[in-house]
Amino acid sequence: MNYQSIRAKIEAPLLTAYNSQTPPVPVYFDNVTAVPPDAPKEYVRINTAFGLTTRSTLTGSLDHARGAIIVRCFTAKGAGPARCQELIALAKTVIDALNSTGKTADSTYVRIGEITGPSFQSPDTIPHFVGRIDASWQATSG
Amino acid sequence: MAKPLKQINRDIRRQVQSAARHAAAEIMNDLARIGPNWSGEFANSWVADAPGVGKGKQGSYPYTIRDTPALPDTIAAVKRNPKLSIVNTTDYAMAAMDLEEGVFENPGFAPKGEIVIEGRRVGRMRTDIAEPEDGKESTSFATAQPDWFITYINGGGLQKSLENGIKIAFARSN
Repeated sequence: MNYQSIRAKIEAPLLTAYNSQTPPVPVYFDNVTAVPPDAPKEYVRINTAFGLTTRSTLTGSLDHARGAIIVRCFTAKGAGPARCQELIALAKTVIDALNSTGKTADSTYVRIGEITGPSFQSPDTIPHFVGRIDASWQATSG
Repeated sequence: MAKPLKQINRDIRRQVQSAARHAAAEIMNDLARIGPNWSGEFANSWVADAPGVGKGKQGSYPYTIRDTPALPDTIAAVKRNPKLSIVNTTDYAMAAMDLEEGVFENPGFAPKGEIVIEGRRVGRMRTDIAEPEDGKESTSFATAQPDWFITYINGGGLQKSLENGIKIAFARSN
């Protein structure tokens, strides 16, 4: 099972989408600091978690994994929800595009399930308004 | 002598209800096993509730089918689509499941569960824990992976437990 290719398949298009914004929106992934130092005005955290990795199949050549993706968008507090929703909508657009990508031979193939959210919080302790969506994913690397 | 059709129907309804209870117990055990576990209170606070029927008894990990409410198996009750919901009765459950902020304090004794993240607290989500400052010891700890609950629901763990519960129920009936 090529975990790295699965992670890349999910995270790379999201990173590209946020980097292409003007100005680019910083994106933080797993195993990067929990809260960025001198937290920028807005940023995005993407957590890709692995659930069940193997599943019985008729052939031994197929690897199948499942997991969850959680996207949290941090925007300026007190400025309304619009910007946060824009950033969340961008993630949703990228996920939709990923789901319409065709399957090619010998490559990792990812499908993302129902998206839950967005849900919003305005924590007391940080200067951000936080929006979150999460979804299941299934991946096959053959 | 063959069973009358009425009895067979009743047996099927009992099997379905039993499968639901076994699946609930499996899920509660999973949630207790993979969730945060410092004093054991959170792991021992999962309860299966059947609206209209009542809660199962407050059990503790490991949970069994006895910790789930007995569901009625009459035709009228089955037609009402009885549901089992699994809830955690602690008042900090949402924070423990990484769905809300919380207040996290070190209780001053070692956790029962394995520490998976340690460092210094930088936010009010459960796993907002960063590397400790140079030369300083860790002051905050987490005993479950970040987003463990969402990963369990979305990552196939929940589905596997449902399947296991149904397998157990039908295996015991044979």
